[in-house]
Amino acid sequence: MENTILEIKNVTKAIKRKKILKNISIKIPKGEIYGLIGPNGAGKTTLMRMITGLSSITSGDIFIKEKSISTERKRALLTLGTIIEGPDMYPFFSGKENLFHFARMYPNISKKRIEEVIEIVGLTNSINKKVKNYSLGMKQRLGIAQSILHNPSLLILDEPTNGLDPAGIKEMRDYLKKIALQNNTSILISSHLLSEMELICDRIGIIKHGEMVSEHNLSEMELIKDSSKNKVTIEIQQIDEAKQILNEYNYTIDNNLLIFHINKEEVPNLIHLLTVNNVKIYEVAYTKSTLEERFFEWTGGNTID
Amino acid sequence: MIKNLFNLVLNEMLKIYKRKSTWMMYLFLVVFIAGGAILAINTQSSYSENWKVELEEENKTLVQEIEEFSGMPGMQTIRDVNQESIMTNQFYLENDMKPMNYGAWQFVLDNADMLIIVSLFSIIIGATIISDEYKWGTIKLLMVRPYSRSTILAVKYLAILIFTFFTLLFMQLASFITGAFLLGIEGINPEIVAFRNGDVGQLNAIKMIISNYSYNLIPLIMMATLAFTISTIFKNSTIAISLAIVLMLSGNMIVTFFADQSFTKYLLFAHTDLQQYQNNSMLLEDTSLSFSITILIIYYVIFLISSFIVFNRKDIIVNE
Repeated sequence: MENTILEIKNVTKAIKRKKILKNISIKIPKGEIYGLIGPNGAGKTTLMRMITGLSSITSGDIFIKEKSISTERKRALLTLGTIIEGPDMYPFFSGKENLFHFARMYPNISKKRIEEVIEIVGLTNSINKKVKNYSLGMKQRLGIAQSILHNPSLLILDEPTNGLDPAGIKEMRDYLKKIALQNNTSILISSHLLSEMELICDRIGIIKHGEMVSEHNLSEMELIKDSSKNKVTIEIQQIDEAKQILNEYNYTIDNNLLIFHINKEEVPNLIHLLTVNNVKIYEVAYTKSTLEERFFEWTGGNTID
Repeated sequence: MIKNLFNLVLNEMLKIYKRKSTWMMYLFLVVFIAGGAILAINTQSSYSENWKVELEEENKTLVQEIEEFSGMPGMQTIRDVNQESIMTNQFYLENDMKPMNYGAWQFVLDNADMLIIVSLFSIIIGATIISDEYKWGTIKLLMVRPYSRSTILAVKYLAILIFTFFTLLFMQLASFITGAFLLGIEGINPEIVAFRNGDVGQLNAIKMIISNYSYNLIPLIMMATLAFTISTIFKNSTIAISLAIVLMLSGNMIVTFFADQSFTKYLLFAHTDLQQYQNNSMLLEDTSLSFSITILIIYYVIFLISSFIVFNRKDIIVNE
């Protein structure tokens, strides 16, 4: 329990009797990066708004470091940082003035810390420019900067890579991983870029129509163990001959490609079986299934957006 | 804790004063004051050694005007003003005092009437201080800080009051400096002969300035608070600004129009001008100073409580 930074407990949100979120429960331990995936309108942002105290909770409760956001709001918010619904900033302030503005709302954030954060997000050269002249990517960086100023134990990031270029996305990914590892910051992140989530998250939760469909562990071990999800593609010419040999295997045929879902350890045996029967192998490809493919499996083949 | 609150107020003040639109307001004020001073140079009479004769002649003209306008219902105010001037002139003659030239102090005192412009600015700030945060989307970032919503709202309201106070101070200072340059200063803290309580007397200039401005401050604060309340409830600054301005300008008219109705004495505008009790020029007959103050407090508390209740209950949603 001490290790749990964010606990979402049977949370329901209803607006005018319509249930936007139904009985959501999530626990995020110290240092974990948790991804929230789901189609637009599934309720990801609503859930994040409730965690950050912007929306009221219809039933259930949310605890940040064991402090309830409904009853101990101030103490819960003290240790939370967020970007929600886009990185909006004061347009007439410079980047630095924006950071000072938010820094003044916490006890004891030093000038040194502000400079440090500017360095981290890579805005050193444009920090004195007015935000109305910022690009979306620069605003996103400033958004990250204001969210980490006070070294929060929990970061709630709603689509934080929106508007960033690929290099920026990688930088942000590396930085988030670093603070999760070094500072033990827990991060709840939502995105519709599945490939992104796969690269950064330890665990993901899939939300659809306001309900938690499933939670999945994305650690390397988990993926390898779960053999049925990995794809082995073998290119041959003698399809008919192969068919006779491979009775014991489940596979699909796509022109001259045989597609198997098997363990990596079984691959040598399969190749051996084919070669001893004189089936000529032109190419063998082993692919771990991507999060995207698995997402479709988990959600029953629906599209994401 | 005090330091934290100071920081929150500082944030709000910076958000007001870092914007060009605020300085445009101040520029507008300066232009207006300078215009007023130039007008005063041309219209205010100054008196020579022969001042007694000049005053007598002035009074004759004023009496003539009153006779000309008698029977014309729309000219009541002009007749009143003339009557006051006649009495003031009489006071100089009776006490054998040469009237002081129109100078900076008098100019500052008269500019209390220009507080309506400061009202306008306070209404605009009051109506936009919350709705702008919605417009910029920054309301989200403001509300996820470790403060209660009430604290954030209270600080914003405080910022409106501070802005009003600063603007008032700026206006007085600008009036005095402009007045000093264009009209001259008549002493450090001169006695001013003025019309009060239906009588003419000599009063200390600074005391009078403070009293005049304080009376004018009441409708100003009430309207800025109303604008703040409307904008907090409806998140719409346009409705808030227009409603507050329309009510501010038509308040007296509404009261006069419904003067014979029993509900009229509970209308806010029957009570915003407390000077009516000092000058014995009451809008309604059956009110008293204490009744007016009670009504003002009730309205004020209702405005503030309703904005706090609504602000605490609503989900913070941008792009609704």
